[in-house]
Amino acid sequence: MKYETPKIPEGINVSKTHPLKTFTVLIAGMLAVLLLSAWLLGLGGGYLAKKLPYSQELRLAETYQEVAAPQTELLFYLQQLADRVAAAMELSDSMPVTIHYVSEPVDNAFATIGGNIFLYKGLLQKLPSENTLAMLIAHEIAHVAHRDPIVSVGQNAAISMGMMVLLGNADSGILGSTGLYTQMNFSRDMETAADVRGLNAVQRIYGHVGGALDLYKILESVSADSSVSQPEFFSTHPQSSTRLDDLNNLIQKHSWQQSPDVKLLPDDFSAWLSEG
Amino acid sequence: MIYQIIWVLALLVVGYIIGTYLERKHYRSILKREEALRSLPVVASKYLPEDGVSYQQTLVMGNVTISVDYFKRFLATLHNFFGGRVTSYESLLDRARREAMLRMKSQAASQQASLVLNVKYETASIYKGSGSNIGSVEVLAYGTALIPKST
Repeated sequence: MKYETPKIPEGINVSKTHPLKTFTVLIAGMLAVLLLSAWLLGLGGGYLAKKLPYSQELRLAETYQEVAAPQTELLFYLQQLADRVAAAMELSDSMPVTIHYVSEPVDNAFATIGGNIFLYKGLLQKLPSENTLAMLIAHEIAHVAHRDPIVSVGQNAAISMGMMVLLGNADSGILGSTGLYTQMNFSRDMETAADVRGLNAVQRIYGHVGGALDLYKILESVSADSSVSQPEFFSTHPQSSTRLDDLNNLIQKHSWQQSPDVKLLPDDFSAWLSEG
Repeated sequence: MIYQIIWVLALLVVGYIIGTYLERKHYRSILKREEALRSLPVVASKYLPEDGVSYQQTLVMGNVTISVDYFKRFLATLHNFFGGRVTSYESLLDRARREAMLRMKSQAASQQASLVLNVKYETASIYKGSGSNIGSVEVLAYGTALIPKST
């Protein structure tokens, strides 16, 4: 028998697909899986966190409790207003609200776990009336009432746990840097719900909603001032103009009055701000 | 975190460019040498040809270890997650098999063999136990070279 070695065509044992194409498809799939699982984890974490009894949330917040701030006139006034708002919202007695004043020129205010609400000097200085301040506090208390902070903590905890499992990185605690001073990430739906509930409270307290919407004009001017203006899609906060439209619709629906007869802030308010 | 991602991306790009260049170069060399050694048949049969020629028989072998570049290893990890054909390792295996065969054939040719009988492949992964640090494959081709006796 005569043996010979024929020429075998190339590419029988090697796939012809370009490796970069395979890479793109697989990476896109991987990212989709990651995003989907992060979303599902967030959803699950938020759902479970909402099941946490409020007493447990208070205990969790206690571990981050800082030294009690000295009782100033400003704090007394703010706390009193917050208690009135909470009463108007029919907030349960088991959900105490604590106001904290931060004497920093930052245009911010936020609610966090355990009913702790942080108000910054920068934003308070811009408020024209007590009605506007009440709207701000009411919005934050609404977050507390809806348990948005603990949901946010639960979402972040679930997602960071997922990341730890994936990356094998266990050096940060599950709750991570979830301190009292950490601003929560609330979804747009949460913000809208808090706006609506807050406006309802202002209507109950003052009998009209005059001055309440000034808050959104201030927020709008604040975001216009900042050098980076985020498009709405990337920001969890709905844009102030969108929120304003929504609230105006709500006012029309209930035919609430926007009386110019607003309650002024105490005479010494600005003096208190700079003291504190 | 961001530096880790940049580092991985840099390794991927470098791995892809260098790996692709080396693979093309290797394939060019393989094709050239296969053509040169085409006249030496290699068969899996273990029976001597009944052609009346008396042969001196000797063992010939060719051995090669080829490593895969970072890019392909990364791709294989992704394949491991989703399943399916690990296409990025196909060329690695193909090159290793053909290179081992060529080395065996050139060993046989250097001894003026006219045929290599009973050819077998062996494969071993020399990186087993060293985790995922090295992704390489070892292929050994061996057979019985038949060298016609000059008398």
